[in-house]
Amino acid sequence: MQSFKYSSATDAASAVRTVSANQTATFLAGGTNLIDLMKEYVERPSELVDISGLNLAEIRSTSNGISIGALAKNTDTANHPLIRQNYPLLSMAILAGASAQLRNMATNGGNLMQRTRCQYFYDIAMPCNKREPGSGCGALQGLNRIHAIFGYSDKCVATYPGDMANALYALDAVVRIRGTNGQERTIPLEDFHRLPGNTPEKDNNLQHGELIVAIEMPKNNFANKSYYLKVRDRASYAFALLAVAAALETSGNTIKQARVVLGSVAHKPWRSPEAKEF
Amino acid sequence: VAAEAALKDAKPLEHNGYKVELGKRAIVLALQQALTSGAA
Repeated sequence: MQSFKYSSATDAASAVRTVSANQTATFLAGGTNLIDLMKEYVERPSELVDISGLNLAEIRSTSNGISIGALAKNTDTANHPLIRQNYPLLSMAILAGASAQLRNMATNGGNLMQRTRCQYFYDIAMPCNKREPGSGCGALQGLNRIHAIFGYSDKCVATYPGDMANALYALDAVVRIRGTNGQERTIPLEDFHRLPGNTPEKDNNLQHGELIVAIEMPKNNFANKSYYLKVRDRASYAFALLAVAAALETSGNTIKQARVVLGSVAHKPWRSPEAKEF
Repeated sequence: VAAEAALKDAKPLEHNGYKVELGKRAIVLALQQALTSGAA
């Protein structure tokens, strides 16, 4: 692991200021992905700003739905009564991911920020435009069994590997962000992650130094008719080969509204334009 | 039909063509499970 400077943030404003002032600094929350990547020299930040002590873990009802703190643990989110009752699809998706020990450490913001599991990204002896822009894509002509079937480019065929974001997309979530100017803005989950294009090193549309503070979801009528299906090589503790977040609103025998989001098929959670229209 | 539509524009790579048929079947199964889940 490369040496780095460490500091523990006492408030969100100073955390954002510190990271935004250093292009090679990054936030540390649960660390369940970042630390692994640092041990393998895939990520080499010069500075970590630990935000795990910030007061951003609250899960609460809002007038329009629910707000989930960025630092709420995955376990606490999946098992929260408001989530289990009103957003069971999210609970199912979170519990389909990782292991109990990892979910106890991992945060909701960090879950969105997790990086691809492309083997060529992890192997620093191999070319990877996401890890080293301009070095090439080992997966394009290599072993690409787990890779994208939608939206990839000749620079990168990696997928976004998470489960939680697929459910959040189906449930119309938005990501609340504190900007480097101290102002907050929101990004629809649909637009949070991005396709690789010519800049696969950018996984999402956050600017450097911007901090996820919460995830918000509106009320919906999907709670009784939703399901998260994850297909993987073994029954647990494996990333999806493909996943489906499905949510239906029904009235009698009529489906009033349907949401189908595919996971692990693109650089972002995927909802095909054709299926949206269907 | 929705599953066919959702995978219509898929462009698999050399080793992941299985994801197209898998995706169609997974969508059907997930929707069936969603319909039969819950109390309402």
